[in-house]
Amino acid sequence: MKAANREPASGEPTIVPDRAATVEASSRWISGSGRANGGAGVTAIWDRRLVLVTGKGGVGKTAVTAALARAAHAAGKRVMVAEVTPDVHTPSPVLSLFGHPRPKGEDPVDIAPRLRGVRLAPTSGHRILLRKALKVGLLVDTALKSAALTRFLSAAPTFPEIGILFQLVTLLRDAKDDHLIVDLPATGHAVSLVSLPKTVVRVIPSGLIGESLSEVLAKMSDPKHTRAVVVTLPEQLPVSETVELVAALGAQGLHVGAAVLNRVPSTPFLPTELSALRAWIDENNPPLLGAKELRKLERALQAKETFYAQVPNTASRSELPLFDGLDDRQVVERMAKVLGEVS
Amino acid sequence: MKLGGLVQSRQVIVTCGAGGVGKTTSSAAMALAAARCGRRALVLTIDPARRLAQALGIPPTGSTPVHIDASILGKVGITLPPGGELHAWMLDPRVVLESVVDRFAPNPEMATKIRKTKLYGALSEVMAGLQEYTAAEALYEFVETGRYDLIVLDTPPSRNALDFLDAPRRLTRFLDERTLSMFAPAEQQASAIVRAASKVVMGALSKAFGETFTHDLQEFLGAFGTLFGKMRIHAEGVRNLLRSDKSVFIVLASPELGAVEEAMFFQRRIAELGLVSRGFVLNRSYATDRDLAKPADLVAGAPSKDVARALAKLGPLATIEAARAEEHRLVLARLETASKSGGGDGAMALPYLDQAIDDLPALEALSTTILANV
Repeated sequence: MKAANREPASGEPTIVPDRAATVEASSRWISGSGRANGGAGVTAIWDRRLVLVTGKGGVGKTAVTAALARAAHAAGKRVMVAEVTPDVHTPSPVLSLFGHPRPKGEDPVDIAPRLRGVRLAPTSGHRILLRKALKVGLLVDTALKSAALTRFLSAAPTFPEIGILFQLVTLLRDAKDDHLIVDLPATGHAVSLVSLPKTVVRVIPSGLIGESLSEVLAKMSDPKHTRAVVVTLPEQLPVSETVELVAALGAQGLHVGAAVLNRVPSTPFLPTELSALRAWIDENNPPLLGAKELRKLERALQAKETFYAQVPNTASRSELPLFDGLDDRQVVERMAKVLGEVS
Repeated sequence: MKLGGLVQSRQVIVTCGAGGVGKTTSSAAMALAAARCGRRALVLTIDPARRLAQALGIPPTGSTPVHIDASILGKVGITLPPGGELHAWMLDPRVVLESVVDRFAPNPEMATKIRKTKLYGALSEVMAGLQEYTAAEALYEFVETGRYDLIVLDTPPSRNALDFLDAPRRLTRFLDERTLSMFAPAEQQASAIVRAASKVVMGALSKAFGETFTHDLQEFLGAFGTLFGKMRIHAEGVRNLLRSDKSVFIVLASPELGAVEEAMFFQRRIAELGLVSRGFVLNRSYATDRDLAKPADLVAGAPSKDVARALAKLGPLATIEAARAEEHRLVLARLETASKSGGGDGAMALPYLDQAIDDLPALEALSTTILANV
């Protein structure tokens, strides 16, 4: 990937893109044909309304979510970036990357013109739900003050998730954004969350919840409306788990539109040099500084092969380089540029 | 922090930390270390790590813990002393739920009745939220049987781990009789005030969920209600167990960017739950590296041009490695201070393992490091 050698982003925040770049980027996104390695490019995501980002914990899915939002925004789209959180009182990982580590309240925060951020939390969803169910504000407050009800909503299994999905569907209905880009929980919990509507709808066919979750289900399983993006690292275990995750999400009717291999290192070695060095190290086992970093590099290169061999090319597959020595927000800026180029 | 001492003396070790810090492998290594001291150890993981399961020769899911065969450990040269056993289980929420119903129902007919309710069927299908409840219950059950000297509980990554820590408390709240009575069928409700309050709540729920569900919910809670008293005792039991000095919480961190903040976050959350985190483990660290040769110094002795050229190109990677080792030592020092100021015992480092491509040798090496830390 060439982008690693690009000029670093200029000091000013690129929240407001310059007009020429915007036009160029958005036309690329609409007509982009993707990388030679298959799929329809990240473009496949950009004409979808709902983009769900997931992956194993620690692979950088939060940064990728933020970068996707930045890239879409830079292309002139109206974007809402969201994250799933159990508690709105804790700092926000995604919104920190946009300078809003502790957004007040539950409503969307304005980050820049056409760019907003919001947190999807069980309590927020429950409040919206009760507001719709009870219509009268006073009753909502009374109901939420009822210890029995709040206990039930926060403690009964699946109710927190129902709250999150309810808030999600409300956003999809009411918000005017072109894209809602959501940082989902890590792998296992993401699959649980995505598979929840199907079961719940069977048990709760009617009422506000039943209707809303039917709507979530219909939207999530419509590839014209929703795409999932899975993020992974060039390491053996994360890559093989990604292959399973793509299948598991597919089984729930959620189409994975893109797989992103994050933190791909570049190699200075020719293949012959690398194999000679490896053989020499294995034979002599010298106390060599750099041996561990070399091993990591070799594993990353191997895992990259596996990524292209095993992640189905029905998803567009792309890479993000390793950005060393930059802070989180700078990394997001660079990632956004690369993701813009890929399409 | 003396992890080697802890695996020999404690009954429960709960490991938590963000995703990708190597919790599952480290947890298994702690259990193995205990087994190597002659203890019967169980590693209970919530996040199924297929490769670890594969390396240990156990199925990724199953209804009971699997005793790791001596021949498997023998492959990496480990022989357990008399009494030492290593068991592993990838927690299956459905199995735990089934067993809860079987053990707590007053009679088999009631157990069948509960299983037949529509909501039970859905509950056992939906994984969301269930893992945390069942983990707490499974922990209690295994401690209760006395079958193991040490149980290492590997929590799910990141935010979900906190759900687990909170599960017994939330369960107790959920199982509070006053909460339940709101949902009990009307004829069972004693006072007029409770009936009136219940009417408001059920009215809201009916609108939200539709009449059928509200009816199903009442039916389910009516049948399940008989179990709640006992489940509540267990929930309290888990809380007390985790608070007692039989249990310790260990926070795992990796040396990457933000590791200290992440680890501190866990320490704080554990404190908020009225518990103490014993210390930090800095996993996959270079902190203990010393006296390594620079690649440039070895070029002269290279057997071929390819090796010489490769060694020359290794220079930048060596520089990165040296800088990281330095950084890891700083991180370790910060964790040490942070732990002690929070009432813990400090921090220790587990090394980055070159052979980690295969889990068994890694487990062996990690457990050796743990045992040396007494």
